[in-house]
Amino acid sequence: MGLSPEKHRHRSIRPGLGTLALVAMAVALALGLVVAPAEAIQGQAQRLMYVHVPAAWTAFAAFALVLVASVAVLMRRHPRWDARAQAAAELGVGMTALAIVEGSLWGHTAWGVWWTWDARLVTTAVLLLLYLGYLGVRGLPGDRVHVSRRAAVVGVVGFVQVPVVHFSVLWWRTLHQPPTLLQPTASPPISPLMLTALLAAVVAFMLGGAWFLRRRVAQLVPVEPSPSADHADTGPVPVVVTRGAS
Amino acid sequence: MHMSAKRSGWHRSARARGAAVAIVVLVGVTVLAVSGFEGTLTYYRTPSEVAQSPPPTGERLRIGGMVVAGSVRDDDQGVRFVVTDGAADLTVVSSSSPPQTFRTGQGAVVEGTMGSEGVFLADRIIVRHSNEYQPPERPQ
Repeated sequence: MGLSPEKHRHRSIRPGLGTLALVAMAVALALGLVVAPAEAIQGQAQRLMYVHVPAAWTAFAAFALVLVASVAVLMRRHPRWDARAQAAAELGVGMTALAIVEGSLWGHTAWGVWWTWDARLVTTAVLLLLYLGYLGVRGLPGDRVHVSRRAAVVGVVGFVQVPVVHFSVLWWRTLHQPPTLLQPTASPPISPLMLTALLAAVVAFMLGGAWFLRRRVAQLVPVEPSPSADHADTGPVPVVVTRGAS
Repeated sequence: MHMSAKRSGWHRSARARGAAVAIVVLVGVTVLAVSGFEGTLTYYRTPSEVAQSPPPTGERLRIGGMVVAGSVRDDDQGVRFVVTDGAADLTVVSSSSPPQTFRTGQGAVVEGTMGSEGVFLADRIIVRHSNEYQPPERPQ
């Protein structure tokens, strides 16, 4: 009888998402490593795409969540939004770093260079720095509400860099190729099996990201204000913001 | 009074740390921007641009284009091939060997200097692949 219904519900939700993410990863691995063919020119190395692209897209989605959560923080919403902003920024930084490191491997095999001063690569490095800076601002000492609001401003302004990264390959003449999928075209220039593997990998990364966010937010906000407030953060909760008023 | 002095001092140090973080990020971004700026916005020039305004000899630059089919051959100075943007062609002699993914009909970016007689002397070949991903025409 140790478990309250509250705890019990949490316990039964989390493995669900984690299991789903694991299954999606297994499916994506099978599709990406076995089912999808090797590429005509790049050979087996093209399979690096099934990590590189989902990592980048997950980072974009995570930074979009930082934006939404930061707006919510600035509108004086529940501090849970502040935890969401932090967790999403951590996910985005990790995924951006993964996309850069893994892209470096891919660049070495496909282009013949590990790194080069191309607009896509540079803007992505700036994106990583920006959100590392965001996490740095979060770590500054000071009143918790002020720190989270200051970080929220960075979280809103910093999002400008996301479309810059995406459009860099269209706005400027780059070594990095233009988008295969994320641009208006009737038939993306990729074989159906490769596309299937790529989309499965995207689903797996997004589910894994959602799993991380859920665990991390729960860790950052360990104590619920009251059991009934579990799902109340969709509306304004005025109680909790009083700490900074001293 | 004592409390408020202490408090403002503490705030000042927080602000100083905030400024330090901001400066570090700004310097990092600036270094990235400046070191990459020259070659970044326009990663390579096209053969047409080079034909219209030839670069001074000795200036390092990148030129990109499609590798012309049948133009690749070995030469005593290295590998020789022609890149084109459809409007202008440029002969390249490279002292370094091309990456494995180098193909005729595909993109390539060469780094080096303009030599005499309109031949580009490259010391590096970078493959620029398209956004197309297809299996080999005849799967094994």
